Amino acid sequence: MLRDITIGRYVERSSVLHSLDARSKIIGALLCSVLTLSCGSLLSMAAIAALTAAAAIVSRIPFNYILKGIKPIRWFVLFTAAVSIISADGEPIWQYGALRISAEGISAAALTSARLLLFVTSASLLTLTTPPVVLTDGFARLMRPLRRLRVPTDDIAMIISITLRSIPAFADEAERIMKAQRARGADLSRGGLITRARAVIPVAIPLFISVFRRADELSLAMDSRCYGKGTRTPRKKTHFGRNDLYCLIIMILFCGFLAIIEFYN
Amino acid sequence: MIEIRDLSRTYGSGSNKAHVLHGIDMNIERGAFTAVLGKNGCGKSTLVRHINAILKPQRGSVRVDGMDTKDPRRLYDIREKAGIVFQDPDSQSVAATVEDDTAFAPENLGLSEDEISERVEAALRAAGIAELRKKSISELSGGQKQLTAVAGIIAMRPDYMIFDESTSMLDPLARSRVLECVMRLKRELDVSVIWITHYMDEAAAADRVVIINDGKIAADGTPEEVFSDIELIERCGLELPPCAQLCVMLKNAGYDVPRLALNAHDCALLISGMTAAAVKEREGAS
Ligand SMILES: Nc1ncnc2c1ncn2[C@@H]1O[C@H](COP(=O)(O)OP(=O)(O)OP(=O)(O)O)[C@@H](O)[C@H]1O
Ligand SMILES: [Mg+2]
Repeated sequence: MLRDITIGRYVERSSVLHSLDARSKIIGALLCSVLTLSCGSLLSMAAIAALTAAAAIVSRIPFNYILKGIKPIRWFVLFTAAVSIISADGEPIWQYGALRISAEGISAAALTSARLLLFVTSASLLTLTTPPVVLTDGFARLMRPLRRLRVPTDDIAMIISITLRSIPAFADEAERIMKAQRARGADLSRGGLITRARAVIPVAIPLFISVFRRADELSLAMDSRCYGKGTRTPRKKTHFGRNDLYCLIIMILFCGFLAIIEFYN
Repeated sequence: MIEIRDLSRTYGSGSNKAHVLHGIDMNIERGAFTAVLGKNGCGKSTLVRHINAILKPQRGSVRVDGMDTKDPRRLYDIREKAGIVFQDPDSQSVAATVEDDTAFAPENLGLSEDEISERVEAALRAAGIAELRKKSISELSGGQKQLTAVAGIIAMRPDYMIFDESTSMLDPLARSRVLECVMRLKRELDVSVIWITHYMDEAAAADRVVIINDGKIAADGTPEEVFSDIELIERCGLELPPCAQLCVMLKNAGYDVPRLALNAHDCALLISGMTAAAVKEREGAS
């Protein structure tokens, strides 16, 4: 189940979304996250969901692949939804003892779930349609103006791209350790909250040790291949083309559209 | 040539101070296949990491083709000349596909686009993985991942290649594939190989065997020389290659074994020779 995570995986397809400049896609994914966080109405959320769905269709990535990416966070989404239903004020439409459910609660739950789902889906779409090397170059070029402030932008871009790329490996490792602990009799799916939290420790500690060891070895492997010489010439560069221009125009129009919706709500 | 002079290294300080290397002196000539042996934690990795300037000598010096690893101006020239392939197949790739990963070092060297493509092509072919070019690294087997790591180093056109237990996480078939590939590279590209291993049969195939024990060089010579001192091998926490063990067992069982055989081929020759001699002797007696 953990290995279903799609953030950080790349799927080769020939689609418009694949052919876009990495910078357009990064801006698109960032914009999607910022908009979902800043918009407060369900109507805007529906509009962003429609745009994300359109991007998913254009990407030609199999739909069940994207659904699979959402599966690992389903409990988290349900949990946050439940919390926002319970904690919302307002006129109860249904009541059972201290448990009160109001219309506001339901819409708050829908809003937080939509935020989480859209956030994960847009990040997945970015990495599913962009090879990591191209993504790195995209980040590096977006941050280039910061170089004047002596920010090590190329290194930061490398860090971002390696982090994204490591998420699936991290998930695989977590699953492996969980299996090993289960084979020794650990049960991660039973007991109260505290028992379960305690059961996580034997998984979390080996996971962190393994991640640090790997990060250490990766950094040595990068050093061994002359990373840091300061003359890096990436082979695959992204090119800003006509489709990127259309993409930008769509994004600007979309922001305007959302601003109008938010204004009238 | 790699010249290591009086190299010492300690980790930690105060009461946790650990002396890992004590005054190591050795030369590694161009064109040789050198196996480095020693029990866990004896300092093999620490030693080879000094060769491509990942670690700098605390005392003593390391020179690669005359360049001092302490000289910051030559740092990348040294790393270009001497590359390391590490142990874990899952933590050495930087990119998602085999081709992109192989391009990492040439990109870092700031080469032109054409030169990068040419080197990637040649490196993939030399490592025997040209048909995996477009594959995603996460789909590869452990052995294929290690061959990708080898291609990533070859793309720098190094003169020395260091393998730090690069086959220890592979299954036996993949292990012999990687070793065969490295042997072929040594012949065809004329690179020197420094091969750290815990497998004695791999060491038996080397031109030279160096044993590290307690931070010092305990033995240094041809496999025949080094493995003939059984007492020393045991003192260093090692064992003989399987074929040599067989020879010792035969000897202990009272057979007249003229010498130690280090590989299966040699062992077969030895035993058939012994059998022929025994047959002749019996015929002479009757
Ligand atoms: N960064 C470090 N800090 C402290 N001690 C270290 C460090 N790196 C290595 N050591 C210690 O130095 C000793 C030698 O380590 P090294 O990795 O060189 O051994 P090795 O011969 O490669 O062992 P192995 O066969 O297990 O790979 C070990 O005892 C190890 O604990
Ligand atoms: Mg080691």
